[in-house]
Amino acid sequence: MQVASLIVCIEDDASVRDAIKELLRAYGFRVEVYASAEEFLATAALDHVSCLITDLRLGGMSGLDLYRSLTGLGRPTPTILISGYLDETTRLQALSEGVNCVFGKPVPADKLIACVTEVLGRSSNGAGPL
Amino acid sequence: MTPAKVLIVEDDRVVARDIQQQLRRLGHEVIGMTARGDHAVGLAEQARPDLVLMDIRLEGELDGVEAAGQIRDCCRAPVVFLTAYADDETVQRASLTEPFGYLLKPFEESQLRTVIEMALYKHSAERKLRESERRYAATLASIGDAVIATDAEARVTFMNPVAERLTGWGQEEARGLPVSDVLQIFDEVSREQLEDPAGAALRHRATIALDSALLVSRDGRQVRIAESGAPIIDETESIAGTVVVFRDVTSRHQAEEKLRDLQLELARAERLMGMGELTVSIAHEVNQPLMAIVTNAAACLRRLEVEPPQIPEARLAAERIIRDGHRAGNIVSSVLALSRKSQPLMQAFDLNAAILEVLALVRGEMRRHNIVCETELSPLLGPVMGDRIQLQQVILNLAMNGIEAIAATPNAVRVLHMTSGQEEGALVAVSVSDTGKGIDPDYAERIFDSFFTAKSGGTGMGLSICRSIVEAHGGQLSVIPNVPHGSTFRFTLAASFDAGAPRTLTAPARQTRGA
Repeated sequence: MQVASLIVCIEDDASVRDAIKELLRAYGFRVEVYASAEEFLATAALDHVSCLITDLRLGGMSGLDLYRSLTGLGRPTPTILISGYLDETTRLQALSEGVNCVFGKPVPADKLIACVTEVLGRSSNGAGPL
Repeated sequence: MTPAKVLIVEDDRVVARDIQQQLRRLGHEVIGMTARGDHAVGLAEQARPDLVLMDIRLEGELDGVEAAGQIRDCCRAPVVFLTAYADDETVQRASLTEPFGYLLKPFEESQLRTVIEMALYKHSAERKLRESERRYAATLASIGDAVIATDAEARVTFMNPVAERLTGWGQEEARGLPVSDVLQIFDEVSREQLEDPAGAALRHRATIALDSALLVSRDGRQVRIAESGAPIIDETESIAGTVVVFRDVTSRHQAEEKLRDLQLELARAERLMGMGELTVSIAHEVNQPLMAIVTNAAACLRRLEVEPPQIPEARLAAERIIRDGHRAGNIVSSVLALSRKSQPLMQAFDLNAAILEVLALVRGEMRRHNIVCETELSPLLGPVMGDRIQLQQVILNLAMNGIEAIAATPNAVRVLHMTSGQEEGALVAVSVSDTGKGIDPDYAERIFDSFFTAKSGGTGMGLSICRSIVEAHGGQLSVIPNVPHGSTFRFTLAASFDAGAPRTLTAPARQTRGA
């Protein structure tokens, strides 16, 4: 059986992290969560991730810098940025660099799910929800 | 003795020659002799004598008196009349030419010498006086300050051109008028007419200086001036008059006002920035649990929507929602506690001086909105214990609120009224009243609540923080409506605290202390 696509969520607030994990699981996605970009980069998940959901401001490396690093490493990863401090400049900047979706917090759950679904549907090795 | 150049005008040639010899013996030089009045005028113009000895009866059409008048006008040479007789009419006519002396013929050489010396001395003294007057007039005309001199009754005797320009009065029309008619000055803030500095200097027999006042000129122009009045005390210790010096300080004031505006702007920006940072931080702290709540709620719904519903997972999500809701609530409570927690630095200070400092900060703001400030600060107030800066923030906040309230209300009366005074027991009270539109009674209960605002652009923290500060000082902040319009904010403070008893004022203390 085909292994479901992996969604990685990076968020430094535990409640938010767990809530996103719970939401995506409720919709049948496979999710791993991390508290920082550094923690994520140290794991094997890096090789399997199909969609990245990351907070913009994290303890260390920012979500946008993580996206840029992955692109620079030759692993461009579909990315959804979420942020509590979102301003229009940052949003447009991120979108112009190829970030798939940018959401301010609190993120509307239906829009998040729609974006994830679209990202995974477009990706060549992706699969739909279970 | 100074040798003088003398012109002799005498119709009796013998007498003339006799005088000439006498003068030469006395060491003077005779530069001309004539028997005719018209010739005398011509000679005087030409030779510029130091002294003219003039007979009254002369040959020709001009007599001595007429010739003397013309010589005085053309050459300012002193004239001494020589005459054999002196009837009243002649003497009176001669006196109009301001002669320097009379010599009755026949005269002794010693008389001649004395009269000449007196005339020369008087002439030189007059010339010195004229020169000194000219020098003063030139100096006063050329300096940048305005100068008005008065007599001992404070009536104008002199004005320089700058004074004429600033007051709108010409020297000639102002001369003899009371200086208070010419120099009308008012308090800048209260707009009450002030005593003119000449009158004040006369009354106090001392120099009276005023840093800043509003001069309203004859044509209604308003100029900010600094001025001083000084009495002129003569050698007998009596007052001969006054000199008032003043200058236009509008540009200095504009610069100062600009500086104050900048300071105010800075203070406001700091306040807003402080508030902005606080707001962003609070927003973020509250946003995280909100984010978790809506996400968990969406997950919960999803678990209930599927067939069959996944009840245990839905329950778990709902429990997380409750947990995050409480977390958000805790953040809000801690923010509120924080705003009350800053401990005041207690020191004895002069409350009235602190109020006046704040008023100086908002003076520009008041002027911009055409608001008059009235103060009633009790001179009996002793030192107050408290955190001067924090209490000034309270006063500033109340004053700015009052100004904003008046500015937002188009009405005839635009007065900010501030008082300080001793209350019963060991309490002092400060009040700030405005003539704005007043507070909607529906809101009166809530204006001190955090984040409550009735103003567009307000943060809703000002009065809440004010109340926290006042309460931390053991006082109370309250508001009462004014009749017919506006509001009065009033706070009390303990006049003094027990020495040596350290106080930690972390909890709101609503009861008043000290009494």
